[in-house]
Amino acid sequence: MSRDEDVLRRILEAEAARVEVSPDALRSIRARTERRPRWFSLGAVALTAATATAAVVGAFALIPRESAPPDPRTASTPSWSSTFSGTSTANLAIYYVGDDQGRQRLYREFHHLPMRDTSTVTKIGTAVTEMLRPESAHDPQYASAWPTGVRVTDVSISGGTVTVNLSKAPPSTIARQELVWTVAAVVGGDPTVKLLVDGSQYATLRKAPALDTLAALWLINPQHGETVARDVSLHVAGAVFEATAHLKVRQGDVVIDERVLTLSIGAPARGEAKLTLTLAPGEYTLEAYTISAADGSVQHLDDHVVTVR
Amino acid sequence: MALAPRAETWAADEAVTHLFTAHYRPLVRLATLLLHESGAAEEIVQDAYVALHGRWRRLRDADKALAYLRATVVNRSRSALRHRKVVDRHLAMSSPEPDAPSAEAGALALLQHAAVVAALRGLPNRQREALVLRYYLDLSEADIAETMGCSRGAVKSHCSRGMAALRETLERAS
Repeated sequence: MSRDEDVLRRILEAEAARVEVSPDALRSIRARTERRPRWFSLGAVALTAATATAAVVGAFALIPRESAPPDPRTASTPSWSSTFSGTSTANLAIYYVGDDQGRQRLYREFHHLPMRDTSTVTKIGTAVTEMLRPESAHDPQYASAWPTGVRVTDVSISGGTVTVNLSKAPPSTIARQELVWTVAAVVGGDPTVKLLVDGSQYATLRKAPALDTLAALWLINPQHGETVARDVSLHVAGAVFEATAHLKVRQGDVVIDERVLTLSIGAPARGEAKLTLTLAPGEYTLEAYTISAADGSVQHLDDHVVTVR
Repeated sequence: MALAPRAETWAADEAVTHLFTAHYRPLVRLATLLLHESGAAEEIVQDAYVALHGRWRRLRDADKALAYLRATVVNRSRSALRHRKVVDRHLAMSSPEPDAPSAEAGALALLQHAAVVAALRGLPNRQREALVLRYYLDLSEADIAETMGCSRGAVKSHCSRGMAALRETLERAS
């Protein structure tokens, strides 16, 4: 070994030895890993979502001005709860942050949510409220990057710009992207999102490139925790090398089915694949992943536990 | 590692406890060397353990879990640095040079040590990562490649460029 290497080794060792760790680190980690149980039915989730949405809408004043200029009367009136009937529902795409090969990337879930009406502003307000609701992700491996207690106080649309007023600022770049992608899923395309914090201009946001933002592979359907019929429709999407992904169906440690999927297009574009599997009633883990060309290891794994009835 | 054979039977909570005892401190030290700040380093390492907890069911192997923790710490440190660069640039304009050890605090050796640490800090992220993984953690080229998510060839080139950039400072320190 060269003398330089030796010196560097010694200096790094000495530098590292100065670092001490906090005595209650394990306790902080434990506090964060004690989460809700992994097993629950989709019915229970939908119910919780409905209750929670109903509970927070009191603070949620929406000002619909999609096509008309702002009307001062509507601006000062209706809080969502007074008119909330829960009769309308929509299936909204909500983005969450998950781990993809040690990087924070966005995953998408569809949440069936009740709302006052199905206007675009209401959908945006509902989707962002759901995104901000703690532990709202069906899959416990996904979570919002936003802190708890952030509220949506106003949403409006003017031209191609969506303005969202929140009670707190985003804590990170990935939190900003979570917001933009959730809003963009409602309005479509690549909107400009003007973020206000407590009424003052905070930032103007656009979607960052999908390749740097979205997880490489998504198991879109079925979703985590879902109960499905015996003919299970699977939907996988991602930007993967040579458009090749793998799918494994497990019951405990027993592999029931395993196949190679060819997505419609390879990386850097985002391709997709759909197929139907027939499974006997029971609980299954569905895993979508890729295999590293370098060492054969499993990468970009997205797995969902589902019940076939 | 002595605990490894039973690892597949651990529940996620147990896995976190075992891996915490064995690796938490070295991982915080690794993150501190990459970031030059121990507060953020602990946060990043704790995040990595929380992520590991959610993932344990798929890993069920102490070595794979350690590889995962390491890669997560390196990646998140890199993101944190990217974030901080902007802030640092502002600070650099307003504040004087960071605390170099004073003459009475120590000998020339200390100053030279500080110079090497500063030079390491000035390297491109990838070069610093490769050098720290190799000379602090003593990882093999293959393990460094896995941790950094790049090829072994890239690891070699990051190491040799990093060493070349540090050479002058190192020679003065030796």
